[in-house]
Amino acid sequence: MEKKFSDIIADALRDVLKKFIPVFWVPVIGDRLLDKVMNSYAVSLLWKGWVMISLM
Amino acid sequence: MSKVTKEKIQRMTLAGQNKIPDRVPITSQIETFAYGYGGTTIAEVKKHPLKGVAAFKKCYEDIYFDGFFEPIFVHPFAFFDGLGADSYFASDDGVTAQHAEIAPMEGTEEEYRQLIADPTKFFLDVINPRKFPNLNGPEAGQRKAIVDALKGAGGFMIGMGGGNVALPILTDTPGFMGGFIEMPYDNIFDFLRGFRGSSIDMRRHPELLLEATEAIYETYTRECEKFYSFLNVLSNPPQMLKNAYNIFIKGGEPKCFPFPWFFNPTHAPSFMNQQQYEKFYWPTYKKTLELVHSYGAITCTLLEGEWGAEKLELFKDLEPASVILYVENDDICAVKKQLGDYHAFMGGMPISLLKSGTKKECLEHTMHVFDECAPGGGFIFTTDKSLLSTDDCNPTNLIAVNDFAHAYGVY
Repeated sequence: MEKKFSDIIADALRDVLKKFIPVFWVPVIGDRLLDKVMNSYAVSLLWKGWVMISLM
Repeated sequence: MSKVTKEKIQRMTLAGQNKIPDRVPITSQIETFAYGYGGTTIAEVKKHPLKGVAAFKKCYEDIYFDGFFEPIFVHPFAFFDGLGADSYFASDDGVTAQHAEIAPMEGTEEEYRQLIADPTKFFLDVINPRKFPNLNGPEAGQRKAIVDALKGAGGFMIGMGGGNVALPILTDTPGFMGGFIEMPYDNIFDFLRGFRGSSIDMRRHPELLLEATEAIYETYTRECEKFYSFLNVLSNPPQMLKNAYNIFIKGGEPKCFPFPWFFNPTHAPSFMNQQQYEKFYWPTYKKTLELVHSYGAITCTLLEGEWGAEKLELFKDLEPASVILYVENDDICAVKKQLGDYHAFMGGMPISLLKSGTKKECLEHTMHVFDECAPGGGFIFTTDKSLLSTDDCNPTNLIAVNDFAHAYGVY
């Protein structure tokens, strides 16, 4: 099934965080932590920031 | 910060609170006019944002202003280029910014229900791919478009943030824009359904349109204003850090200052009748203005077009001195009589007169407006519209008018 843009942009952010922040390299714990970050309020605000600019 | 800059900030702060400062403050509303005046173009600034800052610097050195609207044009052209959209483009002169009407939402009942259920998902998965050609096709191409857009946005933010910090130091002129608001209904009017579509929807799906406006306010305006509030505290790093902690970690609200002001251009009201305005526009407009005021800030709201006294009367429902009414085509002297006891107001200089009038006519008009509007305070002098090209006014007239206004506007 074709990926939606919301999945693509979320995966892109996930890859960037995993590449540059060593704590996310730790097996199992790193992935769980990353899941928490991706579901956090701060990241939901980031999506809204993207939408805010892209709507203009 | 220099003594002159502090005096200008104090002048604008008091006037914005509908009080009497030492002089009537004069603010700039020069947008891409600055590029022409400063000898650059939109294409050059896309590649080198600092060239845009340099052009604005020249304007603020040559023309007297107490506060500037922007250090670089407010729209991030390069962000949209990265996504393949032509939302903003330059006219043939290379300077005048144009905005295309793009209406990517179809306005069916089903689409309205999707928007209402989850605005962020609807905007990302339905509207973004329709609006941006580069967000269609293989995932690798879409990822590249995201990176290109963010690079463009990054350059723009460096220009915007750097200019807001550097220009007050270099020109003794502070910026007055401390935030930006697009009203919920205007999001639909400007960016989703367009003029024709939203006019149809007011009749065809009035309840869904209302619900969508509320959904945009709740999940989008309320949250995004937290981002924009950082412009308000840019010159106060400790407060900026406190706000960042409070917003991102605790999920709280920012604390802002009465100056610089949030800026809001309104677009739809002058095309609505009173009944439509009160039903579709005012409820979320009022809530948004009250939200910003709850941060401790003031919104400078540009009343585009001609509103008429009946619509303006509703501003009496807001807490006094919570907004600055920037008057475009309404009679500013009449607005002063109607609302001068409630809120500050801004405007007074028609750009048509600056373009075609003689210097004497321009100065006589300035004197008349000051005599009518300055007594009692709360008056901020500026052009009635943004200047977008060097053809929009005779720069010699603008320089003469602002010098005269600075000298004549002493309390």
